[in-house]
Amino acid sequence: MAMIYQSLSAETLKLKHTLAFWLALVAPLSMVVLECGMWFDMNTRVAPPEVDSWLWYGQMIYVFWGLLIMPLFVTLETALVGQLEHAQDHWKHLYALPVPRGFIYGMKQFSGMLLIGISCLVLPFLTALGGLFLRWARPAVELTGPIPWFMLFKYSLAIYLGAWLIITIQTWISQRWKSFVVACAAGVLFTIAGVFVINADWGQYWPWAIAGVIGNEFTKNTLLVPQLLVGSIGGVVMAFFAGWDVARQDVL
Amino acid sequence: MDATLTTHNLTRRFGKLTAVDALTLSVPQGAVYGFLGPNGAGKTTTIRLALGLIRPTIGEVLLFGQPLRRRRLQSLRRVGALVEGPSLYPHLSGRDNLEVTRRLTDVTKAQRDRALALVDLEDDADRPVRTYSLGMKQRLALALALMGEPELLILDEPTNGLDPAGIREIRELICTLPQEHGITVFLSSHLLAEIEQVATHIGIIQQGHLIFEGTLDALHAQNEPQLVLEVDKPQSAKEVLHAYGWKVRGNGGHSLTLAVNGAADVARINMQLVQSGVNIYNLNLQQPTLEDIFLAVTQA
Repeated sequence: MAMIYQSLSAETLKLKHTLAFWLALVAPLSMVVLECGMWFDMNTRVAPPEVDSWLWYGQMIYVFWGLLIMPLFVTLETALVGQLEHAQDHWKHLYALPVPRGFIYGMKQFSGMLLIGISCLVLPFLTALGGLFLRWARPAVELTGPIPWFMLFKYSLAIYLGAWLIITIQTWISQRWKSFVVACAAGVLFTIAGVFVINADWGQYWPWAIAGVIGNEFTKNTLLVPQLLVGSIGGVVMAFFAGWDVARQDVL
Repeated sequence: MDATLTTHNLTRRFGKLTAVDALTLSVPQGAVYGFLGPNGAGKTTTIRLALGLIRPTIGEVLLFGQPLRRRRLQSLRRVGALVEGPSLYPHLSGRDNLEVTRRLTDVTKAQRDRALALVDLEDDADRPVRTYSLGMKQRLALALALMGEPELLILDEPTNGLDPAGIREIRELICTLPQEHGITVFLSSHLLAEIEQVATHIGIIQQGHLIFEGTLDALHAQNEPQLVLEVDKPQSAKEVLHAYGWKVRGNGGHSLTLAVNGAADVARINMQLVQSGVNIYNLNLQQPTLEDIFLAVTQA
């Protein structure tokens, strides 16, 4: 346990003063600013009459967050975390330490999950803050009711769990291949593909679309358990596979 | 002396290329082992094999008498390494760079600070590494390797890119390690003059094969001294010496070189040339440097 704590603290120390760390705050902020900007500009009730404005506002943010911003953010974040080691050829140093290779990779995996977890934790607060700003600046959008805190946190957590699979896949790609471009290109291509395949039955299980699909249920308050399980358990399985694969690779 | 690092029949192939071929070497405890070879000879591959970064196709590596494959973690606890360039996080301070590795291993904060002191970086330890000179980065990388107080230090080209002052600093540091800290050093470098000044043992690798291993004295003993002559008639001198059975090499101009077996040979050659009417301007008996030997061995 102490070893895990120490290793995690080593990973967090590496993130000090990095773009990867700040991006964890900037990504959810940019999503909220984007949506708030649209609502601010419209200056009228946006939500359908039968839907609470707060829920609609939340859904808009969470769908775009889950379907577009988050997969791209995961891509960039994991690529940046990977470059921390690739840029100065750290793998040869790390893997020459008396620490199991799978453990070192596991900590790296955790590092990516932590950063994205921070974003998902910050998102409900920023969403609420943006809503409060609109309530004050644009009363016409009718964000009058109480802030749906529970829903905001529940769906942020669900989106996070559903995104585990892409976090682990992107982490694996970014650690396995030295090139920043490969990691980014893979993430961008798979995310764009997600936008196209989301309406197909099988597209609901496309790893890069799962978070968006889950976010789309915000106003209905239903949890898509199969997608959630594919995303979260798939992520755990992928993490083990990636750890095994990376650990057996030669460090050239 | 017990061997700290041993390889048996170590072979590593990359597709059709055999980078290391049946390499059997032994690094005695307390030695500074200079590992030499031309570019592409297999030095870095051997070091990566010794650290378990890559796996051998055939053969095995023993660290402290234990097979690396089976006791990797226990063995690596006693090893510090610097493979090729320094692996540092430029956005972190020198101390934080050591701290990252310290947190991953069993090293104490006192050991971390001792390592910084050893490489004389205490005053700059809290500056970001991106502001360091190349020499400072190299010293910090050495501190990283020394932090766990290893029994074996593996250094791959530790003076790469350093200016003469930096090279001297690293050399002096390496020299103190076996005597003051009981550390065995396995050192790969292109700088033969540097190796000659610090190494007690030499291993020469070429095309993946170990072509020499032994003490520096043994290497010198295997190589005859050379006599460099300056004469007025080089062509005649060459013919005379050939007639007496010497192997002569022209250096251009009036200079000739031949391998001899000591001072007695010098006197004999002097007499033979003078009696044949060749005037000698200069006679210089030279002990071959490591560079001469290395080039002779690897170009043979």
